[in-house]
Amino acid sequence: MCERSARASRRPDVVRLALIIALFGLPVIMLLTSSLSARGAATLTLRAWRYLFAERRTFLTALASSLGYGFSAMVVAFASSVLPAKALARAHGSRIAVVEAILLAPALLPSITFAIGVHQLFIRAGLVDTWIGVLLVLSFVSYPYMLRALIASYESIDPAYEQCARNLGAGALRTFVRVELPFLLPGAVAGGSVVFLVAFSDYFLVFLIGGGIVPAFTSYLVPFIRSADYSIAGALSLVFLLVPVVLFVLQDRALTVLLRRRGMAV
Amino acid sequence: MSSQRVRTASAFLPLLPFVLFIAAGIGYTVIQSMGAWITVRPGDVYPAGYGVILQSAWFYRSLLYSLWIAAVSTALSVVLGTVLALLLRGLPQQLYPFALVYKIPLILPHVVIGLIVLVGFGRGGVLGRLAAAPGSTALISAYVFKSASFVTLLVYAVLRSFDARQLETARMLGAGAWQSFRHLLLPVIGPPAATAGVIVFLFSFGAFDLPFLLGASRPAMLAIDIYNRYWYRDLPARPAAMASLVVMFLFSTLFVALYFRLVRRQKHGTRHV
Repeated sequence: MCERSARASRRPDVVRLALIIALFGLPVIMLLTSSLSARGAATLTLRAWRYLFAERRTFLTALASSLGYGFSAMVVAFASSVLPAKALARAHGSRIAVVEAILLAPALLPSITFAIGVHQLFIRAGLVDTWIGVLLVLSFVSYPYMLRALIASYESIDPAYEQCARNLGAGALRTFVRVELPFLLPGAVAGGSVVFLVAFSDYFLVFLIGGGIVPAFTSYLVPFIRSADYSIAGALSLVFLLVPVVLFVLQDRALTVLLRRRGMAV
Repeated sequence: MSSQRVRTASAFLPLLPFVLFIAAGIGYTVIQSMGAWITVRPGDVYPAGYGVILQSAWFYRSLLYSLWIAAVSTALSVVLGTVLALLLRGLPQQLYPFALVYKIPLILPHVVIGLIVLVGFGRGGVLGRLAAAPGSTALISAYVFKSASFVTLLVYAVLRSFDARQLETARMLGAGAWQSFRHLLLPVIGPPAATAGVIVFLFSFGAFDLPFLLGASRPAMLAIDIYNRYWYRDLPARPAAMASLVVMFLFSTLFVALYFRLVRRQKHGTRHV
């Protein structure tokens, strides 16, 4: 009796869940079916998948290039944001709030507002059509996510820890690695994931600065969409879903193992 | 004291190149909007672009169209995202992992969101019959699909720490559904919904990828219009393109400032409570 009423009360939950899954899961199924269907016909075909297999070299080159600048943007963002994040977390006042706002703004500002000008500068600097140029411009728009995550992490560290380590004779580097880094890690990973996604997913900046010469996964995908070849585009899009999911699972495992080894995970 | 200040200032050096590059990019845009530096020859000066855009119909149309698309997308995303967050809140623990599918649009690149909308609205698509999708409908659907889960993410984060017993207490004390929502839930979900809304607005106002794939060409979103005028017209058209970019930048800055005001007020709010 009691069990039945529990089950009855759960029914609305299931309906709710079904609604959410339908709303967000359906599009993924749509991509899958369109990758398996022939153009304008309802027949099943593996054409798109065969094509991608045959073209695996260009396809994998584009993917590797995108993964490369995605991960590099993460590293660049971390390296350039650590010190500013610490300074922002420790300082107070309205002037510092303005500095923080200016440093975070590039992620909020529509990138086209400065990208066309940056493109002109990059032409003069010889950075257009280069992989480094692409990495650089992607760093402009993605580092704020890392900066914000690191500010939040630093705000949770008691400055006394650093003082303690220093008093016990640890140098600046040692203090950073042994005392601060463990606290920063979860935030850095969370911020880094967003940085990676922003860089990996971007189309416009890569296309503008890379000029179609720097291989990129989005630049590989878009022509298929524009020429309405939705089966190949659908198959490629599933890779976009798969890569982040695989990376997040790996990162989650690695972080747990790492923190457990340091005795910090529960 | 002053050496402390120097140390604080020098901590920002690693980010200085990025900020300088962006500032230089904006500076370049301003200079070209005035008609200078259009070509590499120093003597070449064109008329400034502002007079042109102030007298041209396309500029106002694109600007208003962009603001309108952004406003509609934001309103729909905030409402839908908040409703989703409220739906998620009631889910029992063991069902929650399945509900994580709501994060899918956050992972997918905009170009893939565009593809989903094209496939969905296309012939034989699920939504094909629903609308003979004009550009605006497709564009707004894409923005809402992408942004609603972002709103959900931020709103749900605060809802998780909301004690549901407050609602029960309110009901026992005779509060109606609307009263409970207005006085208990809204103060909690309002602030994150507002900040998320500003971000969504900025994004839908100025992004390039989605209108590039989905948008109509007339009226066009401002970003697309500027891009086309800059690259696919003669050089004399560039000052006008850059002048509209400057206007776009000013509008965006307004909303960025609004965002930081909201965030600051929220921070102070929690500190005082």
